[in-house]
Parts: sequence; structure tokens; C-alpha cells
Amino acid sequence: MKERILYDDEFEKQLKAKADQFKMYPSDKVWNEVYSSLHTRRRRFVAGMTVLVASILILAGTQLIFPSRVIHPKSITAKVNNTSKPATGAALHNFPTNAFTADATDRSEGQPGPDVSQALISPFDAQTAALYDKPSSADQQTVNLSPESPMEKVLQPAPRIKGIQATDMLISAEQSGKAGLVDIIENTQTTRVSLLNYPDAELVADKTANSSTHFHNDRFGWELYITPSLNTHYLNGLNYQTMNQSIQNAPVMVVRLANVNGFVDNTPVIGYELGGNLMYKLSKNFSLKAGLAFSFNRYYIKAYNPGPTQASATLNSYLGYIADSSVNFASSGINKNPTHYQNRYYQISMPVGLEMKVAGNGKLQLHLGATVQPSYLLNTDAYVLSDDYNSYSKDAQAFRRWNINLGAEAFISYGTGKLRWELGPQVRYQLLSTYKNNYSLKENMLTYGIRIGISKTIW
Amino acid sequence: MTEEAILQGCLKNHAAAQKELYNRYSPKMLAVCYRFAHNREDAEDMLQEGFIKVFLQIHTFQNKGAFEGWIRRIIVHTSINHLKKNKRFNESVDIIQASSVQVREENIPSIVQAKQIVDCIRLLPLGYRTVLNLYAIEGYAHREIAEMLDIEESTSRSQYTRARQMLEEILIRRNLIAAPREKTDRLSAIL
Repeated sequence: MKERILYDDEFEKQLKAKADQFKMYPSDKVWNEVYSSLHTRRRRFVAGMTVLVASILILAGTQLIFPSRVIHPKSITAKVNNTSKPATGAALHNFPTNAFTADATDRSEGQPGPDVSQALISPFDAQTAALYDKPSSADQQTVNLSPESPMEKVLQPAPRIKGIQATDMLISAEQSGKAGLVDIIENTQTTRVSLLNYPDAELVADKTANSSTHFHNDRFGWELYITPSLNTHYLNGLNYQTMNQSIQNAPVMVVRLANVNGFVDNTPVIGYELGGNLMYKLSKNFSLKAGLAFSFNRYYIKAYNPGPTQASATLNSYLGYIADSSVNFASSGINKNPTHYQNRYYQISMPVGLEMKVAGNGKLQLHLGATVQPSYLLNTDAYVLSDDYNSYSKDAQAFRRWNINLGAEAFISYGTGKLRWELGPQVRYQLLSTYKNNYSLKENMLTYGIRIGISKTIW
Repeated sequence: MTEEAILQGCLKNHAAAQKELYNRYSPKMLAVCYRFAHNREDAEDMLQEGFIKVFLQIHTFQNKGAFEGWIRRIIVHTSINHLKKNKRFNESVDIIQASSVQVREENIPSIVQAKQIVDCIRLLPLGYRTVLNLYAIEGYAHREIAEMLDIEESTSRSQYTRARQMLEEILIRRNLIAAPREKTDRLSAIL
């Protein structure tokens, strides 16, 4: 714009001067809108994380409420042991439903299977299994895999069924006294092996069967956990030796060089971490995991209210930081009753790490895990200590948004059906200071708690 | 915080610096918007839109002129664009192809409050007000005003002349400036 060099007359000059004196103060809504428009990336990040967390929770919830019924395109050869000896009451011990499947080509030394390409024994699916009441005179009954399959073919040496010797699979009936039967419901594509008449009948499998091939079908899983936790935070003062010369020459209060932790009185308060992970089994004992976690940490600070004061010493202007709020509470006081204020931190993080099974069998296992957790500070309600350690002030701008945490955990897991329950200690250390670099104090938090979790293999 | 620090902070998209800049200039800029707008709500919408542009385009500021002047130009252009979306505005600026109008030379006493002047300006019809704001207060030339408002330069001139005359009449009627030698009763039509 080319401004006119001179105003034409005195009236216009005066009009401009008067109009320029006029000021109006906009409502808070204007800045809020401006701010949210400028920082949409942050909003999008939070929204994306929320969607991701919600998706994991929905997936996990769905799996919990409606357990998946996986049908593998595999057929089976199974032998029903219904000998004259009394049935012992069967139990399906610790292997998943899909472990009952086996490739039809296994049945007869690599010979192609019958037309019926799929079969499923679904002992968990008693409601949907068709129940038939077939008489049985034989001591031992066999599963008839297809119309074309002769009985004797089926009676050939049993194959391995996902690490389980089919010969070890026993179906027995105890309570009814009738012969246990397994029948096949044929479709054009699928043959379903059903338990007949014996809703209480269960399959017994040899748990010692070779499971080396087992994990291939159980690579993916999820876990949810909550960790009630406490935290300890470590404060460090200025690093006097590393300051530049001009600052070193300046008068420095002795307290600056002392241990800052001696000037504060903080008490941990219980917080929590809530998270979910997706697991990928790398080998029999190692799993990779990644997920999202929300953590809420807090602790009490003991302070004394001296009345309104100016926070002139709150932050280091020579380090390039200027506080825009003022303070409020003294960190020490004489003849005054202390007040406890809470520092609260709300953080979302994305743990990525490894988990190792170090001991245990199918039922009870011991695991160790370690994660790296890029994290984002969603919000704070916290006071920062002034650099002379005399007072606390509230300044949201002092806090670092992005951080990195390291997590470690050890837990025992106990399998009940398809789920595993997990319990054990968890530790999390915040690598970077809670505050930005230009703030004189450094705070690193160590959070520890008991992790309670639940996990499940998806497929 | 110095202006340079604010500028550097805004260039890095730091919220604190942006807030500081906003706090420093928004009262003046809202007053600018208010002179153009129908009401306060419209003025706040203009201000909001203008400050978003300021922050998004701050990297284009080249330190050649005053920072406030640069912000003000963005706010003014934003306000004009906001007005141009309004059909009523487009009709109002092009109505009058006024011929020569006698303009008096009156002084505004220093005792007159800024708010009184602004209130009087806001009594002008929208088209007059816009041209008067742009020419007399914001310092744009008639050629620039014509480009901004998509009108003829002569229209801008005539509108300004009429606007100024009408404003003086309002000021007189409110006893804010000395009584004129000649009176027109044109004022009663708009008041």
C-alpha cells in the first residue's frame, strides 16, 4: 500500500488521531478460536490418538464379549476313545480351539485328503454344534471324515494336530454313561465334527505335545492393563559449571548450588496408567508389542500461602524465558500452616517394546518386558518451583510437551480359558525433564506401580 | 518481551509469543474492525480472521516497516473482504456518483473523546463509512480504495466527500465541533 504522504487537511489528521486512540478489548472467544485454528496439528494429534485408543478398546471389548470363532481351512483326523473303561470326565486343557485342527494331508502319509476339506472340532461351541444321538456298539469310534473315507483309513496312525497327537485326543462321557460320539456334519465344503449328546463331554489333550509349530497360528494378540501408580520425582538445579562466563561472574545465591530436593517437600499421591497393546509373537518366548497408554500422575507439594506476591524470580530471564504468570505460594514458611497443592500431569504415550516369557508352562508364566515410550503431555495442573527455590508459580508454558519414557515390567500371567490375567510391578522413568530446556530446574519422574492386565490371542 | 522476540516466537509457532502479540495489538485492531463492522460480533469475527492471517503470513513480514502497520493492513484487508461478502455492502458503496460537494474545514476539539468520534463514524451509511475509514483514517489513496472495493476511483472520491460532509454534520449535531456557517438538513434523513 502506498500511504498518502500527507493528509489533506487538519480535520483528517485529527480524525485519524482520535480514531486511533480508540481501543476495544475482544472477548476470550476470539483468542480461543485463533489459537485452535493455528494449532490444528495438535488437535489432530489428540483426536487421532483418541480414535486409536478407542479402536483398541473397542476391539478388545469385542473380543472379550464375543470371543472369536476361528475356523481354519483344515481337516482333522480324530479318534474317539470311548472304551469300556469308565469315562473320567473330560477336560480340555490349555490349548486353543484352533489347536484341534489339522491338515487333511497329514492323515495318510501325505495323501491328499478327502473331498471334505475342512473340519472343525469345536468343543467350545456346544450351542451351535448339532447333536445327534447315534447308537454305538464299538468300543472305539472313529471320526468319519468323509463319505468316501473308509473307516480303516481313518484308523491309520494318527497325525499331529497342531502339536497334539490326535490319538491323545479323547472324548469321553462320564455323566451320561452313553458312548461318546463324534459325528461329522457335512456340507459341500466343510465338515463339522460335533460332540453328540454330551454337552459336558470335553476333550483331553496331551499337553506335552510338541508345541513348536503351535505359535504360528497365535502370533497376534492384545492386552489391556491398568497400573495404579505412585511417582518420585528428582529435581536438579542449575548446572553452574556449564554456564557461560558472564553468568558465572554474576553473583549467585548459595542456595542455587545446593541440592534443590532439600528445599521442597513433596508427597506422592496415587495415580494410574491405562493402556492397551497389540502383541506380535516373534518366537516362542519373545513378543513385540506396541500400543497406547494414558497416564495420570500427581503428587502433593507442601507450600505456604504468603498472600499475593510477584513472581519476579520464577524463571530465568537470562536463559531466554520470561514468565507470563505470577506466583503464588512460598515453598517454605515460618509459623505458618502449610497447604498441600497437587501437581497433576496428564500424558499419552505410545509404548513400543519387547516382552519375554522367562519361565512357566501353559497355565502359569513369568514375563519380563521393556518399552520405549514417546509421550505427549496433554495437560497439566501443576506449579513450578522458582529458581531461587522460594516459591511456586503456575505457568503452563514451562512444561515440555514431548518427552520420552522408558518402561520396564515383570509380571506373572495366569491362563483361564482364552484369557491370561497378568499381575506384576511396573516402572517408568521419564528421560527428559518435565520442564523446557530454558527453565533452570530439571525434573525427572520415576513412576512405579502394580500392573493388572488381561491379554488374549486373536489369531 | 520485545517485538523482535515476539516475532521470532511467532515464526516458530510458539503459542506464548502468539498470545503476547495478540494481547499487544488486538485492542487497537478490534477498534479498526469495529469502525468497519456492523456490530461488535462482526468486528470480532473480522479480528479473528485477521489474526489468523497475521500468524500464518508472519514469515512474509520483512522488517521494512512498522510491525503494527503490517498487522493493520492485514486486518483492514480482512475487514474489507468480510464486508464484501455482504450483499448490502456491495450495493451501498456504488450508489452515489456524487458531484462536487462543499466541504468545510472544521477542527475537532481535543476534549472530544475517541469513542464519540468512532460512534459518529459508525452512524454513516456503510459505503460512506468504509471509504472514509480507508481514506481519512487508514491513509489509503482513492486509487487503492477503488481497487479494494471494486469501484471507480471517482466513486471513491465522491463517496469520501459525501461521507466527510455527513460526518461533520453528525459531529455538529452532537455538539462535538463548532456549528457550521451553512447547514444542511441532509443529516435528518439518516439520523
